[in-house]
Parts: sequence; C-alpha cells; structure tokens
Amino acid sequence: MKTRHYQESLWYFTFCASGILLAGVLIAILGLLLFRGSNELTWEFLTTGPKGLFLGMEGGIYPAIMGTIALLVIATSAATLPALATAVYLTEYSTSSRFSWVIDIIIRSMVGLPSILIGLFGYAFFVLYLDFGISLISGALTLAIMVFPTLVILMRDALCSVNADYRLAGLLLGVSRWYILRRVVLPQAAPSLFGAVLLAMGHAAGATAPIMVTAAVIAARAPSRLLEPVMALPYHLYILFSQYVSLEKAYATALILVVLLLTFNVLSVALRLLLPGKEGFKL
Amino acid sequence: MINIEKLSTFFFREQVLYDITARFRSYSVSAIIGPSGGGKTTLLKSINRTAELIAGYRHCGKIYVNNQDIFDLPDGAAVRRMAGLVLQKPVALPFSIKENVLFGPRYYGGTDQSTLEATVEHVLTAVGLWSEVKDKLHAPARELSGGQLQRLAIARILAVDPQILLLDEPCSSLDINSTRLIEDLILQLSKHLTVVIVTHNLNQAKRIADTTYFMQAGCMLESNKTERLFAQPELPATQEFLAHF
Repeated sequence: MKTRHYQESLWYFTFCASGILLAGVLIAILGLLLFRGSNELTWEFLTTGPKGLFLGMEGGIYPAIMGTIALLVIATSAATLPALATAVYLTEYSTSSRFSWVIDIIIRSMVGLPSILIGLFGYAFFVLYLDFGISLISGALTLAIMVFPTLVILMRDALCSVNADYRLAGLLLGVSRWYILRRVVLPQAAPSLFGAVLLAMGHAAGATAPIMVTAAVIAARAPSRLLEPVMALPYHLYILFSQYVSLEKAYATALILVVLLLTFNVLSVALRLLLPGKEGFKL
Repeated sequence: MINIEKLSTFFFREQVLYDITARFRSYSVSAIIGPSGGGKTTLLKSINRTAELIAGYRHCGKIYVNNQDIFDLPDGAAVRRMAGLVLQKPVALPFSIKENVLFGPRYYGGTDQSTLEATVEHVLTAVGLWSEVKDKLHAPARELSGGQLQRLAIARILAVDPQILLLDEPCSSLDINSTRLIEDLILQLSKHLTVVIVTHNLNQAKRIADTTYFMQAGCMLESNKTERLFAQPELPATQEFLAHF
C-alpha cells in the first residue's frame, strides 16, 4: 500500500516537473530577451523604420511590425474559409470513411512539410508563375497554404467537440445538416473556431522561411499595396542576427515577436475557456 | 398503418434483421419486446430511415406507410419528419425550452410569431409540460429533469406534426412517476398517432400496448394482442422469454 503511494507520488512529481521545466524554458527565453533587448525598447524603436550604414543598426522596426500584421491578416483571411469548409465537410458531410481517411492523410502530411518547401512552392507559383513578384500578396498566400492544414485540424477538433447528440436530435426532426450546422454546431463551436484562427496566426507570425523568398525584404515602407514587398519581424530578426548588424536590436525585435506570438496563444486559450458555446444563437 | 415486408438489414457484412414481416396498426400502441441485441432498435430506426445515417447500413425489403414504400421516397429527411423517433436518452438542444420546441417548425418555414407561440403552448400542453414550464420558457432546456426532458423531446417531435411516433426505451432512465407520466402521454397520443415502442419493461408493454411483438436474434418470432401474447405465448422462445416475467 505504501509502495503504491510512493509510486503515485513519484509519477505526480515527474509529470509536474516536466510542466515546470516547460514553463522554465519559456521564462528563460523571455528573461534573456528582456535582459538583452529591453534597453532598445524605446518609442522610437517601435515607431520608426530601420536606419544606419547597415540598415537596422539604428532606427526601429515599425515597417516590420506592420508588415507582419498585414501578412497575418491576409494569410488567415485567405485560409480560414477554405479550412472551415474542409473541416465542416470532414465532420458533418463526409459519408465515405475511405475518402475522409485519404483527406486526413493529405492534411497531416501537409502539416509535416518543411516551411522552406512551402516557401519554394510559393516562389514558383505566386512570385514567378502568377507574376506577383516578391510581394505582400505572394507572402500572405504562401503563409495561408502553410497554416491551412493546421487550421483544418484545429477546426475539425472544434466541430467534433460539439455534442454529437445535438446533430442526431436535429436529424430526427427531418431538418437538413446545413440547418443543424448553422443553428447548433457553428454557434457551439464558435469560441474554439476563433481560437483556432488565433493559434494559426501565431503559427504564421513566427514563420521565416516561407516569406524569405516570397515577400520579405531588408527595407521597405509600412505596407500599403498588395504587390509591393514588405518587411517582416522574423526576417528582420534573421538579418539583424545573421549579418551581425545589431545583436541588441535583434533581441528587442525577438521580444516584440514573442509578445505577438504569446498574445495570439493566450487569446486563443482565453476564448475557449471564457466563452462557452452560445445558447439560443439564431442566424 | 405501417406494413413491413421481408425487411432484412445489414451493417457492412453483418446481417442484423432477417426477413421481418409485421404490421403496426394506426392509432394504437404497438410494443416490441425481446432480449437485448435482438434488432428491436434497428427495426425502429429502419422505419423512419434513421438507420441509413449510420455508415455501412443497407437493407432489402419494403416498409409501407399509408401504402407508400418509404424507401421509394427520394428524401429520408421527409420520412424522419413523418415518423418521429424518441431516443432512450433525451437530448436537450443548447437552447431555451421554447426554442427547443420551435427548432423544427422554424426550419419548416414557421415565421408567424403568433402561430409559433400557439405551437409551443399546444405541444407542451399535449405532453403535460405546459403548466410546469410556462413561466420559464426562456430558461435553458438543460435545466429540466430527466422526465421533463423526455417529454420535451416528444414535444419537439410533435411540433413538426408527425403521423407516427417511434419510442426507443423512452422510460429506461426515468423514475416511476416520470414513467407513469410518459405512459399516460403515450396512451393519449395514440388516439391521433401510430405509436411503436421498444421496451425492456414487460409491465410497461402490458400496461400500454394494444399489440405486442416479440423479437429475438433479428427475427420477428411472434406477435399478438398484448393480453393474449402474455397469457398464451405460442412459441417456445417466447414462452421462455416471458417465463422470467
């Protein structure tokens, strides 16, 4: 009896320690970034563009922040509806388990694709074939392809988490699947669906490889046109760090990027925890 | 009148029902009894084409409702509306009590507010729930008790004006008072509807059914007037099953 108790305690502390380790890693990263980058975090850094003999040695990251936000908004806008449609098809309409299985394998394989490979596809298709050039739209659509499978998986989980009995109760009245989806399933899954979009935004915000060859440049104004290249935080960070332009500014840029990612993730979790599925929602 | 002719059903390669032939009379209560796994629920779900929503289901044979083979109808949803199925475990849709009742009518084009209000009162009165919930129609349906929820599930079906009511062990999770309420309700409804109930409660079959059907291992073995079936079962299998009663 006592041995079993010790075993139980051992397993508890093992699992607990891994959680603490994970939190410790995040705190260490944030601590390092704060320690090394906080001196550079000034109003000027956040509101001006890069300057200096080597661009980025002086000035700030305003165009990179705006470029990243533009890329994220366009990418998730482009990916959300197709991903939702695919998730709805797989959870609500697909009657052939074999076909669903094939689609599932394709989606999971897409998640595993290296992001540079998606960047190469974006370069070949959007930049060269569609002649969009290195531009905001090429980068955003490439990011949309990258986040699409993640969004499908997250959205499918969100739809699957809605009580299956609701669907059956509706079908027993002879109403259509679309009516059940519109009146019951989507309102119930809405918080998790929004959470999925935010998580996907976080995933896209940190991606460097796909935009390196499709959208990002060393210097550009804040984005104003779809067919112009943009600056982006992860690429700017890569340049500052790899070209030894300014390590301090690299840490400060990384801090802003991490804060952006954490914001998306925290909002995503908060949405799911704080907002229950809507009751009595009528479209 | 529901007329079933040589109905066999399969889930993938496994046969569940074998050449079922039966007639369920209009405006009466028909009870289907038998051991678990005998195909009673599959038969019920075949009558309103709910079974075809399950992967791997196929059938051969015919089911006539008012001389129309339901499998000839292009739309299974129309059959499900005509023959409402009440499940063993009542489901409260994530709406208010009122919106639960109106879920079907709104789909079928009900927009006139006074007509919808009248529907709510009419069906909730029919299931004996109106006096209990008339002051809290906008409360979430999940707050109702098990017995009230089962009556709400029946009300939701009555609101789309079915001709047939199929009940799959509707009282299995209810206490004795709620069971009595549901049984009285079934007897009331059978004046206007064809009612078929699957039950493991033989006393319940005896109390409410005009005709009782005995199923075992996917076969319809025997049927008769309820009193007669319980008093003088003809087949040894029925005698053995009822011997425990």
